[in-house]
Amino acid sequence: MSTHAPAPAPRPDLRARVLAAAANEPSPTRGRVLYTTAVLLAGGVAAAAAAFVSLGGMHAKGRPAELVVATALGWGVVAAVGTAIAFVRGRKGPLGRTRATLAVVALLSGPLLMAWAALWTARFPEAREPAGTLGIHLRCFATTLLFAGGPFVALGIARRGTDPVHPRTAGAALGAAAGAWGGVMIDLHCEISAELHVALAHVLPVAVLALAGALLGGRILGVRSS
Amino acid sequence: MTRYARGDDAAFAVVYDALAPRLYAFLLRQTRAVDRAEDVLQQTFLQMHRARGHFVPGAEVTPWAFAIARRLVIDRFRRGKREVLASPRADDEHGADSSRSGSEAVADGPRADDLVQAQELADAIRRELAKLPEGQRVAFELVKQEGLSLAEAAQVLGVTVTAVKLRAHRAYEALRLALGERVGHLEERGT
Repeated sequence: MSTHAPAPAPRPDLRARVLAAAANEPSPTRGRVLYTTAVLLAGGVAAAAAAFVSLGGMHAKGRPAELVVATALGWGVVAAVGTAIAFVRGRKGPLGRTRATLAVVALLSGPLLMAWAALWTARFPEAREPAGTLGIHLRCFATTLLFAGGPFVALGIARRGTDPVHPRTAGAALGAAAGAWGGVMIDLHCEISAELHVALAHVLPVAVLALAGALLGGRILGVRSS
Repeated sequence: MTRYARGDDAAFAVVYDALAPRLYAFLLRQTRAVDRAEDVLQQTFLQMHRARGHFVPGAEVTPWAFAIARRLVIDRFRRGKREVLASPRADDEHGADSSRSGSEAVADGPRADDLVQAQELADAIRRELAKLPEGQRVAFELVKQEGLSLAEAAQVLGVTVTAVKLRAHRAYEALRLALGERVGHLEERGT
């Protein structure tokens, strides 16, 4: 015996109902979705860039150029790889990566950024500024969230209602990726490279955005019955 | 589906015809009621219609469709729209259909006691499956009952092929332990 038991077919009138309902509800084609996604991502980048410029842009004061370039490049690689894994679905299909892969992005982005920054800061002890006060940590924390806000919103809207498998984990991964982009920008903007400040004000927002993505993912990214 | 994603509206009927029977069988097993299965089937196709632009050309459509259907079933269950998950009496409508097709089959070949035994075994398997952890149960259902490949089931569940293989095997072993040689002939797909 096989458990592949013959099952009754759906009623013929259901086919007509489904096709009629689809015909009555316009939906975007592949080309339209690609265009909309491109516009959304460009908007997210533009919002982040506008915030960066309006707050004074890059501040390298007291930091060697090698330190600034190395940390920013490393953080950029983490952000780019995280975005590619969390957002790009590839040839396998519209279901995206496995839950474990997305969880790795969500959980490891922050520690990777911190480890990279600590590695390079250790090579330039003379460039270490005092870690700063709580007020400075909070200001940079908020600035990182501001820089990451555009990409976070853009990535979330672009993937809205399209993840039937693991929307919370995908949301966490997208949040971490957006947070990493915010980290790249705050790393260029903020001249303080002390580990405590980097951890609290530059990296902690990555974890906060990953958590926010996980909380919002089910509602924003998930497929829901109507 | 690739044609449909690119804007060929007529291709949706082809997608429906290719997927509806398998999805319907899956949904009947999950919801145990014709009206609920049809409702979720309709929602599944409408969701695919709305999200057609997100379909990656050349990708497999079956895992995507099953993943949407499964999510909608879970969503309905969480919203309290599915009254009973695994009650033997909850599948009256399905059972009625099965009995009907079974009666028709008697005239063609299988003896009545064979059919009764098969029905009893199917009920026993269903009861035992309901006792398993959800991950094992769903992996078993997708691979053994719905006929998805391990790779397709892995996509539906968002896990690796190895994880699906392991879960389905554990479910099979649990069934074998509970039901003995009665399930010994179930072939182990992909293992």
